[in-house]
Amino acid sequence: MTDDTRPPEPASTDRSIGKDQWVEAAADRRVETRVDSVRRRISSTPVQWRILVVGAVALLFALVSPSDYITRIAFTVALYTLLATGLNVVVGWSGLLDLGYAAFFGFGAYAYALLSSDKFHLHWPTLVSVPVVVAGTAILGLVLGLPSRRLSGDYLAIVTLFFGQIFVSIANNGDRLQISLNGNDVPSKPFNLTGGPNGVTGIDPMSLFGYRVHTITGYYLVTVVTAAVVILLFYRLRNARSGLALRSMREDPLAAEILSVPVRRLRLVAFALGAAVAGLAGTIFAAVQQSVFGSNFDVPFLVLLYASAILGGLGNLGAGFVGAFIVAVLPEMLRTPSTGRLLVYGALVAFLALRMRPLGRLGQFVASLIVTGALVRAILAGFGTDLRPRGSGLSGFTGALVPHLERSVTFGNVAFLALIAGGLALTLLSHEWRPFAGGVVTYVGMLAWENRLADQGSITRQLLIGASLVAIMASRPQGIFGTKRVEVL
Amino acid sequence: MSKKLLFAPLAALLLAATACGSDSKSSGDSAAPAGTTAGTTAATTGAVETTAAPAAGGAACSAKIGFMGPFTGDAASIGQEQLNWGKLGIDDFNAKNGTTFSLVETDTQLDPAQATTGAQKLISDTGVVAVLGPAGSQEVEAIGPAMTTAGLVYISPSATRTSLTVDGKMPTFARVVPNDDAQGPTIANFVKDTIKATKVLIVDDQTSYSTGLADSATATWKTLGVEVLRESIAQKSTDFSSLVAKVTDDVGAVFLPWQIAANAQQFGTQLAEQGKKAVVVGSDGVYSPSDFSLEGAYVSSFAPDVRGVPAAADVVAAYQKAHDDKFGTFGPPVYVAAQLLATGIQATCKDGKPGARADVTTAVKAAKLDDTILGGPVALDANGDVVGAKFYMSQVKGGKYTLVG
Amino acid sequence: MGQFVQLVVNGLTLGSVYALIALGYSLVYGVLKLLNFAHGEVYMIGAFLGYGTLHTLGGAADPALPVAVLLPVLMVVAALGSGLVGVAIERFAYRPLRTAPRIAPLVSALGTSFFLQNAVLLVVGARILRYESEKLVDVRSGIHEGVLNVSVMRLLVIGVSFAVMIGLMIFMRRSKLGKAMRATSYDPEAAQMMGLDVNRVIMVTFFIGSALAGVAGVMSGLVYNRVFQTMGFVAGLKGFTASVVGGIGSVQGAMAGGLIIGFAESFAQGYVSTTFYDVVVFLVLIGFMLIRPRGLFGVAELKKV
Repeated sequence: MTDDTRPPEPASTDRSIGKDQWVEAAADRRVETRVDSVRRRISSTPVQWRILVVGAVALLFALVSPSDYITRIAFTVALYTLLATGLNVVVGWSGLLDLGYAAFFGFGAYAYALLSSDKFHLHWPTLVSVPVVVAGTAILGLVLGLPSRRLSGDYLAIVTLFFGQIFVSIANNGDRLQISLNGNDVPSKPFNLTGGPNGVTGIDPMSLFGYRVHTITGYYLVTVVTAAVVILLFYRLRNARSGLALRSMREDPLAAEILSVPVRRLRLVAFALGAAVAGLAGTIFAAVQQSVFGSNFDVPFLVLLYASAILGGLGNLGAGFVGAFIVAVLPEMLRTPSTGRLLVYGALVAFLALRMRPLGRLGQFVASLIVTGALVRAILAGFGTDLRPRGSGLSGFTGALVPHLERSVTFGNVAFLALIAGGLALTLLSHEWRPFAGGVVTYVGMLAWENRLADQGSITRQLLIGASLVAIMASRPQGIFGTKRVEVL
Repeated sequence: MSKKLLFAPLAALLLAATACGSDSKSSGDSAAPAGTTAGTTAATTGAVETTAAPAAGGAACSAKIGFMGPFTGDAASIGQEQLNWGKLGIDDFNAKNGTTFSLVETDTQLDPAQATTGAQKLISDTGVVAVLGPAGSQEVEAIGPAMTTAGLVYISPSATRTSLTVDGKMPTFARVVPNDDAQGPTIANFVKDTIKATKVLIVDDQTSYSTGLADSATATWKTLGVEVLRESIAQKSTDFSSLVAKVTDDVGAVFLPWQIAANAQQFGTQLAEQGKKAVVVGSDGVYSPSDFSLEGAYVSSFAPDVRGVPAAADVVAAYQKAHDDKFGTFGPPVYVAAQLLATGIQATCKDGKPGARADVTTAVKAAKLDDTILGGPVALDANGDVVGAKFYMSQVKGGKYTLVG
Repeated sequence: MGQFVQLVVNGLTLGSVYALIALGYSLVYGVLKLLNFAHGEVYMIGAFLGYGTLHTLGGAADPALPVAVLLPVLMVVAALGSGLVGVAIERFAYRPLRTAPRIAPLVSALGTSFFLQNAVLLVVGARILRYESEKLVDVRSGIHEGVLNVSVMRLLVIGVSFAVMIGLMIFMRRSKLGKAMRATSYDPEAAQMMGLDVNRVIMVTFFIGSALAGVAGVMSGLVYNRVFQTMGFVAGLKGFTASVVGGIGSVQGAMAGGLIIGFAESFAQGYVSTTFYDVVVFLVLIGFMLIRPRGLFGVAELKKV
């Protein structure tokens, strides 16, 4: 195995026998990476100040935002932050895996939609409908929390997942609510609750204290303030008795119970709190989109929310913002294919400048790149391929380095597959071989990019998102601002 | 080690994010080298020209057209076909008219939330004067308010929900395909008159397209005195055999208003497996000779197959050369929508710049194409619906589609 | 009665496919306590590999090999390919996360799913591909009496699935590797102390689990025909459900769970509602989980305090 040639892994990454894991991990904890030092400095300032500063900066951003599009992305970040915070309470604090979380968000959105639209000709004022919806979602959270009295771990998770799926199915087919036991006949007039796949449209915008929110900037401000208030409340709760009890429950439910922590009741509280936050976020979402559809709240969205919470670092409330930022901004950055090109090559150059030390290694890399390029061009020329560069600007520059073939689909696909194989192999190679192999893989990657990926912007975008998520997690398994802790086995 | 190796480029990536997030206005990208000029300054005060005569003299007209569709995700089979046809439509128009229109691709994955963000991006990009897409009725509903405020015209090549164009709530919306109420009755009458079925089973696939069409057909059948049964099965379902087991012998026809032709083929195969004799009738979403070839089944379409239209011969040949012959009903309308948008934009062009968004909207809605690849002229009425919509019925015979009504 | 038997057959076919997918979840969970949410994509890759092999060998209409040879070839190719993909996923996406919080691999799985789906979309294209198995084996072959219709393809799929499952059980009981897998599952540290190479055991586990998913992909292609890049999502969810309902970590549980889900779907569609069948299925399963909180074959974990 190639593993033999590598220096031994840090002790914490595999469970060595005969060593105390806690002691082993202690050394690891003391090693402070750059992220950790930033984290330590941040955490040494008082919580209220941190939230105020971040909130104020976020509010000011609305003034300098260059376009509604940017504001909209900022709004998405704020909304995901809010949702990730609620999820953090359920998962990060209490250790419950709640896979029905997206349904609470959906319930809030649909409830607001039904109370404030032409659907049933109800137009409740925002300050009435939102509290009602939030309370309703919290109660639903309590009900869904009930199975946690009997179930735990992944068995609880699957029941919450069932709940989420039931919600989506009812939302998507709720225009014909009539279960006919004999099967076939068409109900004369089925009850239309949710609008089915057509959803609920024409939802009222929010109206707060006489001010009608009708721009994305307005909703952005509302969401930032809401998120800040919610996070502040949760910080206070976390340092109160019940918050400590919640966390003790995650670390070791059995020990907590012995210390007379009311574990079961607190689990329900955690579910209800998380649900209430999700419901609140749902009302904002419905008001912004002015329409809701069942497909908005399916499992893919749930996974996205978990990604925000995990990427930031579970258990760390403010870190939800970091995860939300990645999840919301990364896909938008990559939306324009030419930006994607810029980012990929930019990241490559930045990587070479930062990590390829000493310079000799950079030289090896460049030499390998050039040799590979010359070889490929020679082979292609042997087949009589037209190697004249095309394009202008950055694409013209790279086009001069890399041949762009006339009928490039198959060629590009082969290069792409080679890139995957090469990229994976690269992470297994020993230190001294990486510059050489890196040059070859980089050239193959450029071939794939210029011949295939650049033409398929939307697919490339998804590929880059996927690869980034895997890479981020591989480099920071605890999440970016997460803390390492010993799992209770 | 490998951890740090991976982290460094990502940090750079995120740094770059903050740097480039703000330059969407300048849009200095190489995808549209000639399309960086903003169109807002070219607002003409005079009457808007609505003829499609190419602007003689002056610089070549250049503009950006947004292109929304489900290019990845669950509906990618539809979206990729639309993508290819849309690109071909603009390329052909540019080649013929000397314009340099470019498409700004925006993936929606058929998700209303993603469509809203994507639409906002196009709206904030002042160089974009018109939008091709989005594909689904839900998405049209979701982006409607923002597009109306922005005054940006958008033509969907596949959103058929009837109510989209009814009360004028989305004045900048138009579509090149007829709505559900045009198709439903055609199929219903055909099943009653030609297949002579007295009992029909409708199976919708729980999408906006499907339920709307099913409701429309049901209404007609009710007035004709045909007994209607209704079932539904999610588009993503793996197996239809338990649903097929419920089809009784007195059911004369099964109507499948589906978007995925391969699903309909599988449904028909499982009918045959269980020895059921009911005739399968597909909607225009099923019209795809390469994917749906159930012997004896019927499909509807709002235009004859482009492969048989003389005016489309060159275009189809070009498409087949670049891609393949395996396209269905979702692609060709995108080509026509692209041509319609381009024609409208060109009519407002002055000194190589398109008119303001409001002018482009008026011009696009007034634009007429005399002869399209769909086998006839295409024009829009005041609501944004296509004029003179008519549906045809074909039967599958020996793997080929034969026009029967 | 006739409809009942037909629904049993349908449920058995669907359940066989689910069971094979569920096995992958359960095997991996047993050894690593990891929920491998990218498992559905391995199933998708298997279905595509089967299609590619079939196409290379002349397609369903004119296969280069006799059907009895062709089908095993498809399954073996898909099993090997999927197995390798599974091993690669473990090595590059999951291994760096061994010490991470338990649900952290969810993000890696999400990234892997995005990547694999879109890699297939890029290389193969978006069109939904059909095995066209009706050209391979006539759908009217097999048992067709009155309302009961069982095509040869269905019999084949059910048979192969059961054979594979029994084979796996024997492998787990008898072979050295199987014993090593069970030992690692029972107590990884003790297993390591006994001189087992745990990393190797984990690789083998991923390979076997993924290979089973690959076979499931081909079987799905043969009976349900459609192959597309997002097909793994629903199947993965069903497989996960099946493995938990059966008692996650248990091999017999995964098989039973798969069949339970298959039957539940078939009967709910046949007797209650096609529109709301998943609501019915999930409500029944919630009730079931409340009665048996550790699934069908799950054992209550002993807590070490």
